[in-house]
Amino acid sequence: MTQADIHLAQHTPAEPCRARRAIARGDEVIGQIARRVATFGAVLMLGVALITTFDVMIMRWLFDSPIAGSNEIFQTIFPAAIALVLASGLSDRAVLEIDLLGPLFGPAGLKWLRAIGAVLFVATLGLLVWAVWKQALSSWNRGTITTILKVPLWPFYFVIAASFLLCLPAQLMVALRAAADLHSRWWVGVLVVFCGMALALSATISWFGGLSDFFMTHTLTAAGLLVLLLWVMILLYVPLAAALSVTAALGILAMFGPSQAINVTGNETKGLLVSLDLAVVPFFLMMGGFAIQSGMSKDIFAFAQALFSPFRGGLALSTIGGSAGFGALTGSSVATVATIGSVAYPEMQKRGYSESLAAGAIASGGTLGQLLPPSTAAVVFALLVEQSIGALYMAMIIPAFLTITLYFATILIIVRIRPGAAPKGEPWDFAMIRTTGLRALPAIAMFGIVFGGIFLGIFTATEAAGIGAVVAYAVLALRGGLKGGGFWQVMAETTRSTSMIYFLIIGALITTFFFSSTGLSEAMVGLIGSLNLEGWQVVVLLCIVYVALGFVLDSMAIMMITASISTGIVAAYGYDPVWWGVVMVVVVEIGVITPPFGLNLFMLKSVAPKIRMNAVYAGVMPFVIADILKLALLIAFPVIVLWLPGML
Amino acid sequence: EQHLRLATGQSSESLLQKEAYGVWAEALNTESNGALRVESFPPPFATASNMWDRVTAGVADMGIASLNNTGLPLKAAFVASLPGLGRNTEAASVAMWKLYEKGLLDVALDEVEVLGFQTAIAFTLNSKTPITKLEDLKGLRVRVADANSANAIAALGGAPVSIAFNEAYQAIDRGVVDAAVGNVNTGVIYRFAELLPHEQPAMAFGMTTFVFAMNKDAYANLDDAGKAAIDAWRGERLSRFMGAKQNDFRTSFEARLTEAGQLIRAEMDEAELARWSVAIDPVVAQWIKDTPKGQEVYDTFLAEYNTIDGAN
Ligand code: NA
Ligand code: NA
Repeated sequence: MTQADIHLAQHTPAEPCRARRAIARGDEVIGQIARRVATFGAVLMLGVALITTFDVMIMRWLFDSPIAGSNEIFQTIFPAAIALVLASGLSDRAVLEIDLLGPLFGPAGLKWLRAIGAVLFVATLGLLVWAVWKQALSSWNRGTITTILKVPLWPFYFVIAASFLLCLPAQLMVALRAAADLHSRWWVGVLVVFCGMALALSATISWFGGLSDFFMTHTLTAAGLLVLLLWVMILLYVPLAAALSVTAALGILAMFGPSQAINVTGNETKGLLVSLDLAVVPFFLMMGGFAIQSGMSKDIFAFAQALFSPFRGGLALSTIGGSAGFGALTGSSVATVATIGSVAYPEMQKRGYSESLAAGAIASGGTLGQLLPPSTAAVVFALLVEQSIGALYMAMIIPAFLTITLYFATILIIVRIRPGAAPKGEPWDFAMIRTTGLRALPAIAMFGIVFGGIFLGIFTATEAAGIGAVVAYAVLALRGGLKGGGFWQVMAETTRSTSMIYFLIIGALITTFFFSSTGLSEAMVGLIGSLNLEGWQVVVLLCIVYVALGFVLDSMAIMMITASISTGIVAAYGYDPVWWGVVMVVVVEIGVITPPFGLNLFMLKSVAPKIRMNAVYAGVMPFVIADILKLALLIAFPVIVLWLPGML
Repeated sequence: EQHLRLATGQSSESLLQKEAYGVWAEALNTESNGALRVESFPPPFATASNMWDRVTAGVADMGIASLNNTGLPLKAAFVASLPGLGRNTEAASVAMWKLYEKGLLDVALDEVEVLGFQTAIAFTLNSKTPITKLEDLKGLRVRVADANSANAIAALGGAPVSIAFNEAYQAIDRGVVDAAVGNVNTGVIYRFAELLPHEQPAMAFGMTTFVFAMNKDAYANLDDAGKAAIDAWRGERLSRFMGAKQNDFRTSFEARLTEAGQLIRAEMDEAELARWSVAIDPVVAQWIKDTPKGQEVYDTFLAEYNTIDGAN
C-alpha cells in the first residue's frame, strides 16, 4: 500500500481471501509499472527544462542565435511527458473528491459511494482513451506537423494515447479493490457495483442520445438540469474530474451527437496537454520540490520567521509576501499555490499553525499570481476586449497592493480573535536574523536569477518556470541532496500533483465547451444588461453572477465566455473597459478560492494531500470576505484602478 | 429552416466579426429567405488551434481556419505567406480562390467544403528603432509566427524567435525580442505598436491565409434553397468581400497609428531594397523546390494577384 493511499486507510480492509489478495497484487503491479513510466515522464520534463535553459541562456541571450522553433518542444515532447505521469497518480489515489456530506452517509455508505465513483472514473477514462486514440489516428492520417520545424506530431500523440491506455487498468484496479471490499463475499460488491453502473450508464447514454430535440428547443433548461446533475454527483463523492467529464460529455452527446462528444473530449484533452499556460505548473512543482529537498525552503522560511518574529502569525504573513513575490514571476494562480503551498505548508505545520489558517493564507495568496502582472487572465481579457495589455498591467498594480494589505490585516485579525491559530510572537533576535539571512542566500539568489531574468528581458515567464526548475535542481545537486532518493521523491510528488490537476482540468475544459455552446453564461449576463438598472447596480449584479458562475466553471473559462459581452454592457454605462478588466480579474480570482469549486483549493489539496477539504473551506472564508471588501472599494472608487494608467 | 453553427474564432464584439464575418452570416440568412439560420459562435466554442478539428468533426458546421494553425502538411496553400509579395489582400484572397479552383492547392483541404479564402493584412517588420539596412537587422532578435517568415528573417541575417502570442507583449516590452514580424491589426488591437512604432514598409513578409470551411455532411444535408444560398457566396464573391475588408481595416488602422505617432515608416532606397530582395530569393526558391508544382503555383498566384491588383 502506498503512503498516499488516503481512502483505503480510512476503512478497515475486509477479510483477506484469495481473490482480494490477487486484486491487491494486480493493483500493486500496475502501480509499479505506472510509477516507472511516470518517473520517465518526469525526467523527460526535466530534460525539456534543461534544453530550454540552454537555448534561452546560452544560444539566445549570449550568442543571439536561438534554436529556431525550439518552443515546439512544448507541442511535442512536453505533452507526451505529462501524459506519461497520469496513470501513476491514479494508482496513488491522487484523485480529488469533495467531502461535504460525509457524516450524512456514514462510513459504510461512503465505501459504496467511493466504489461507485471509482467505477465512474473508469468509464470516464474509457471515454478519454477512445477520444485520444482517435486524435492520434487522425494526426497520423492527416500527417499533421508543427508550424516552424515541420516535425510530425503523430509519434507524440501515440505516446499520449498509450499513456492514457495505461490509466485504464490502473483505475480499474482501484475500482475493483474498492468494490471487492464492500461485502463479506468479494464478488457481491464487484457484481453489484460494476454491473449496476454498466446498466445505469448505458441507459443514461441511450436516453441522452435521444434528447437532441429537447436540448435544441430548451437549451437553457437543459443546461440548468445538467448543472444540477453535476452537483448531485459531486455531493455523492464522484471524483470531480469524472463528474465534470461525464456531465459535459452527456450534454455534448445530446446536443451534437456521439462522434462529436468523442471529438471534443479528445480535442480538449490534447489542447490542454499542449497548452503553454499549464506547462508551467509541473515545472514550478519541481522547483518547489527541489527547494524543499535542498533545504532552501526551510532556510527562507527560517529567515522569514526571524524577520516576522514579533508578530503572531508571522509565517502566514510571509506566505502572502512570498506569494506576491512569486506572483510577480508567473501569470498563474495555481502555479503560485503549487510552489508556495508545497514549501510553506509543511513549515507552518511544523511550527504549530492551524490547518485552516495555513490553507487560507496559501490558497488566497495564490490569487496574487493573477492579480500581479504578468497575468494570463488579464491577457485573455485584453485579447478578447481588444485593450492594451500594458495599460491593464499598470491598472492592476494598486489593486494588487490593496490585496496584500487586506490579506495582512485578515491574518492579524484572525490571530487576534483565535490566538491558537498561530504560535505567539517573540522579540527580534538580530543574531538570528543574520545567521538565517546568510543561510537563505542561495534561495534568494535563485529567486534573483528567475525574477531578474524576466525583468531584464532575458526570458519569458513561461521559460522562467523551466529555468527555475533547473536552478533548484542545481542547488540540490551542489548541496549533495541527490543522494538517498531525494531526487526520486521530488519526481514522485511532481507526478502525483500533476496527474490530479490535469485530470481535473480536462473535465473543466469539456464542461467549458459544453456551456459555451449552450449560451447559458451569455444569457445570464445579457439578462442583466436588459434590466434597465443604474450603472452601479448592473456592475454589482454582474459581479454576483460571476461569483455564482465560479461555483461550476473555471475562472479562465468564465473570462473567455463572457468578457466581451459584459464589457459591452458596462461600457454602455460609461465605465472604462480597463477598469472593468481589473474588476473581472479580481472577481474570477475570488472564484478560484470560493468553495466548493476552486482551482486553488484543489491545487493546495494536491500538494498537501493530508489536509482536510473542510479545513481548507473554512480557512479561505475570511480571505474571501477581505476580497469582497476589496471589490466593493474598486467599484466605489474606480480611481484606485485608473490612477496609475492615467499617469502615463 | 436549417440551423448552422458558424465558429468564427473571434469575440462577438470584434471589428472582424461585426464588419465582416457577421455581415456574411447575416447576408446568408436574409438571402436564403429563411432557409438558413446561420449563428455565429465565438471562442471557446472553437479557437484558432482546434478550428479545423471542430469543422471536420461536425461540431461546428462552418468555421474560419487559419491555415497555420491546422497543423496540416500544406505546401502550396502557404504561397501567400512568402516574403516579398504585395500587400493587396483583396487581390491575394481572390488569387487563392483561383488557385483552389484550378486544383493547384493541397488535397488536404478537400476534407471540407472550401467556401472561400481570406488573406490577413500583410506582415511587415516592426521594431523599437528604425531598420533601414541589412546591417540594422544583423543578429536582431525578431519574433516570427510561421515557417516562411522565420526563413526570411534568418536569410536577412536576423535571429528568428518564436514566442507564444499571449507572452508576446511582455516579451517585447522587456526586450526578450527587439522586433516582430506582424501587421497593423495586432499593432492596433493588441497595442504592439506602442512598443514597436517603427515599420519597414518596403518589404512585406507575407499574408496569413484563412480558409472558410464547411463540414461536408452539413453541406450535403442542406436542402436546395440552403445550398443555393451558400453557393451564391461561395468562391470569388466571399473571398473578394473578405479580402477587401482586410484592405479597409489596414487603411483605417494605419491612419489611427500614424495619428498616434505609433507608425513611423523607415526609409529604404532602391539599392538597399535590391539587397533585401537578393537575400530573400533563396527562401522563395527553396519553397518552389519543396512544393509540388511549386513554380506553377507561384506564377499563377502572381498572375492572378496582378490582374486584380492592377484593376483596382
Ligand atoms: Na502574476
Ligand atoms: Na469557486
